[in-house]
Amino acid sequence: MLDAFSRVVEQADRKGAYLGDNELNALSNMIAESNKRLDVVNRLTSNASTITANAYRALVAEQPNVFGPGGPCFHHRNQAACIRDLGFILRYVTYSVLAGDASVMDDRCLNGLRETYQALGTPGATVASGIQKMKDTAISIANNSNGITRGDCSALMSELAGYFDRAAAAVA
Amino acid sequence: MKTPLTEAISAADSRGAYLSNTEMQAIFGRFNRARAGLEASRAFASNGKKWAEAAANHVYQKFPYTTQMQGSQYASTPEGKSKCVRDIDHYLRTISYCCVVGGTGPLDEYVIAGLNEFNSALGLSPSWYVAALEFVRDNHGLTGDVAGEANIYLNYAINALS
Repeated sequence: MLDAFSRVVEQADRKGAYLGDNELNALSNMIAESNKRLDVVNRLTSNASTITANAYRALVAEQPNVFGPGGPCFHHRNQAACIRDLGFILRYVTYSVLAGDASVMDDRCLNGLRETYQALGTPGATVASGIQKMKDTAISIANNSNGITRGDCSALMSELAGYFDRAAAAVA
Repeated sequence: MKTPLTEAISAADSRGAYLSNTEMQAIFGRFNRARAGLEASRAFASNGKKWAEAAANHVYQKFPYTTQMQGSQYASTPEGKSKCVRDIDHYLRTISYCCVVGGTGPLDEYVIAGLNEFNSALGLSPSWYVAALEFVRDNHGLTGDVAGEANIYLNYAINALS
């Protein structure tokens, strides 16, 4: 598992070089913006059940065949597993936001997930759609600027969206 | 790689839980100290080569046999001297990485794993490198938090070699 810092270090080590000014300035900028990052992690963590439950509800409304009689995600046993899996993915997204790097999600969540779903008969496209719904809710919660000092969070929001997109692409 | 961020994530993940307040507090502290670490890394980047050469000369004076003994592990030839500087610079570069990530991960993975076997296979004495790193620690001229960050990892490497 790497974070934003050790990612840069690993690349520098391959060249046998000290870190250059560009790399140090980029990391310095990340540190300067770190409070925003921690706030995003905190908001996602604090609203995790809202994000997963709302995504699940929207998903059922969108794809009734999957969740209804005869579908691959019929009955509570499967539906609870679906909600649980959305929670797993959201949890690894929060880890990735904190680390500033997707390697923790790649190593511990996404690697082999597609094959697992194929073996279980879980429709990957449905999971991917659920992840996209979590993304929309997560961004609207994380990017809500009411009641706080307004600042530019666009880079952080596109980073956050990127982790959801990565997860969706891994199972779609 | 072991860093404050990856350690916090591993702790949360082993519980299967979101990051707890304890972990978030630890990370908050890490970001507060990170700037000094980057400054230390910057100092290593601009002075590392110079420090490595000065440290090598210090080792030659402290252990005069290192420049008198014949053999490829000693510094009796220009080639031996350049290898000595290169190896000290390797330590310093990895220590600068530790300053960047805020943890001992780079030293653990790139230097300390296999260190004893490596040194004994090539006939190198850890005490040379201890002397070199102590020299850098005592003469780098850094102050305050920046020196604090640099010294944590210099001392860590010294202890691992001792």
